[in-house]
Amino acid sequence: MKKNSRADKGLRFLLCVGAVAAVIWGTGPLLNDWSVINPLMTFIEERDIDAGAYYYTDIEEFAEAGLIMDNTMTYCVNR
Amino acid sequence: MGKDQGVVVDTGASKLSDLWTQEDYWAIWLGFFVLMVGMILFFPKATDEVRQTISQANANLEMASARAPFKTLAWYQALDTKKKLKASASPEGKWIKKVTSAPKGWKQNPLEAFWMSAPAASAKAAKAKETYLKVAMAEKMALVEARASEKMAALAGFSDDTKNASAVKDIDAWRAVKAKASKAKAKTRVTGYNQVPWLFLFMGFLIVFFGLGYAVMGGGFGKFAAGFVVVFLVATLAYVAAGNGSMKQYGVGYAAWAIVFGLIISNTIGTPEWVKPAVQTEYYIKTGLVLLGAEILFGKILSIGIPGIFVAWVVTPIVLISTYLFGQKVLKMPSKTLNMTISADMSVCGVSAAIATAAACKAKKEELTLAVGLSLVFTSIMMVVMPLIIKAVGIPHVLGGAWMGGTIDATGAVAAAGAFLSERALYVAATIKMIQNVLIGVIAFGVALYWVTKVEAAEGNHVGLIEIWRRFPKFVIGFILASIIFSAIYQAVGKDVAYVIIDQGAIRGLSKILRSWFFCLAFTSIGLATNFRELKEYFKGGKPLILYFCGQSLNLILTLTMAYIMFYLVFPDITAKI
Repeated sequence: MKKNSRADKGLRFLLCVGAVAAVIWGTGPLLNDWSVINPLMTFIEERDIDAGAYYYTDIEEFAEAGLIMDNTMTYCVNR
Repeated sequence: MGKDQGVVVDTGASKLSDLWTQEDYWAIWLGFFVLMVGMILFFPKATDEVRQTISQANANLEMASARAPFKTLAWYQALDTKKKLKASASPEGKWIKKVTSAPKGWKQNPLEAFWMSAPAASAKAAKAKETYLKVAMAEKMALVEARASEKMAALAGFSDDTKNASAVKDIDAWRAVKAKASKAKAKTRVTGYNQVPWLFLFMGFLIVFFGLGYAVMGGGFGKFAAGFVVVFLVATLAYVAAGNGSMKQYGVGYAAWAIVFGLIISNTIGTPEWVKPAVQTEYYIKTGLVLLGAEILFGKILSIGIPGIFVAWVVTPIVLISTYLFGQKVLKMPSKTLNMTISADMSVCGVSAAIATAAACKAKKEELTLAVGLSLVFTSIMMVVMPLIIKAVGIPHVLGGAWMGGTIDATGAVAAAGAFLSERALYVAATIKMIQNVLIGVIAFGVALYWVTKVEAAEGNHVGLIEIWRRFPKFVIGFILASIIFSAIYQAVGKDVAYVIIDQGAIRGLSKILRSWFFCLAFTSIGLATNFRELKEYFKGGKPLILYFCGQSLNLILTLTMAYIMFYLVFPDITAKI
């Protein structure tokens, strides 16, 4: 099998980097303008939520939600 | 060490020297070292003053609860007092955050991830201030309205349902604007920064941290250090890409970027030989998992009462087992480990569950990559579609929140979709997801045990107790032990103090920051060691996609049904409280 030359490898690398850049600077912002998802995206930006967080401790909203639910269960007994 | 780089976990051999020659044990030592540092730094922050503030806030909560049949403004104000108590806000906590902080968020210019001049920061802060002033005004107005509605309800002795409902609605609206104002205010505090020196300092720390173990296990410290510089740089770039505004919004996190960047390097210019000593997927994953163990706090599972247990702890295992059996019996998945990793990833909580399960069942790195990719795609779609469906159909927000919390994989996407619906939906969605997160510990332990006793036995090996011990992935013991110790401390000190010193101290102040970096390094290593052609082989026939789709469909049906039964038929009183 023919081995790729250093120039070929370099070119493929640059193409991949270009594709990543196109996703970050092109597709991402472009999709944001789509009316179906725009309200959610604007909301996420305003609330500065990291939608990519993986675990409950990675995101501050969960700390507040947990605190509220714990205290709701402990103190809201009259409703 | 790392004899089989294709498998997420290696096998153990019971010798005393294993304690310092096997990465499973090193993961435990390193993980517990970090946890001990966290405890030493943050546990003494539970001072008498903090306890007194908590007591006062609890007295106010009790008083507010006795006064009205709903959560009044005074109730929320008392809660906000407790919320502000954070051990990680101490000087040492702030210093750790500064040194270990991932690159910052950015929109157009990626350099802002590392550096921002003082004038540029001032300009940004001034612009943010304009937005903040508008939101702050809206918050003030919302508070005035909420006060007026609550007063009307109070004048009626809190016995007029219409007035009570109106007060609840206005107080909820105030909370939503308040949350927005709080974020807007934080953006006005931006100052000039240069993250580069701190990143180098942190990289030096990590070289010593992991390099020592690598050297004791028989590798060369110098070789590891040289390779680690590249692995760390690629991991940092993954954080930069994940910090882009649009990517953050779509939920494309560091794990996906770390794999993509690693794959690009390994499949184009090739991963240089001298970098490979630091491409240690298992070493980083196992250490990260031991730290994750401390975040699995069993005291959290009752946060929303029995309905939460049913939605998160009954439906999830049913979906996991059903999906796995469907994959084995109907789809005839060629790999049991891929089947289990996708089933756990889809039914429990996405990437973190995939990591823990893949490590427990010794899945291949390509299988973990595939599971993470599937989760990413479905999470982004569900985060957008589910709130739209809930709004269109008119599903109550408590039910909608429980549905999203139990089904959307990624935690961040749950927060985004939940908050987009309403604050109430966010509280329920987040709590259900948190309870489901805690399930990871049980699942990982169960899967590890099932694999050494059943799956490997089925391959013709006799498995006695000693053999089980020898085969059992030892880092899982560290993972479970960390969970048990932190859960016991959590219960012993009480939820309020635990929030200050564990939730907002040892975990958010140290262990979760390092755990995220370790997982990022692991995913970078996966990318750097993966051949794209091999990865394609695992997707042949589209079976993983079918498995995920069918499993998620079952998950959606069962979770919605269970949430409705629990929150509206069996425990409507709990729903009313929320």
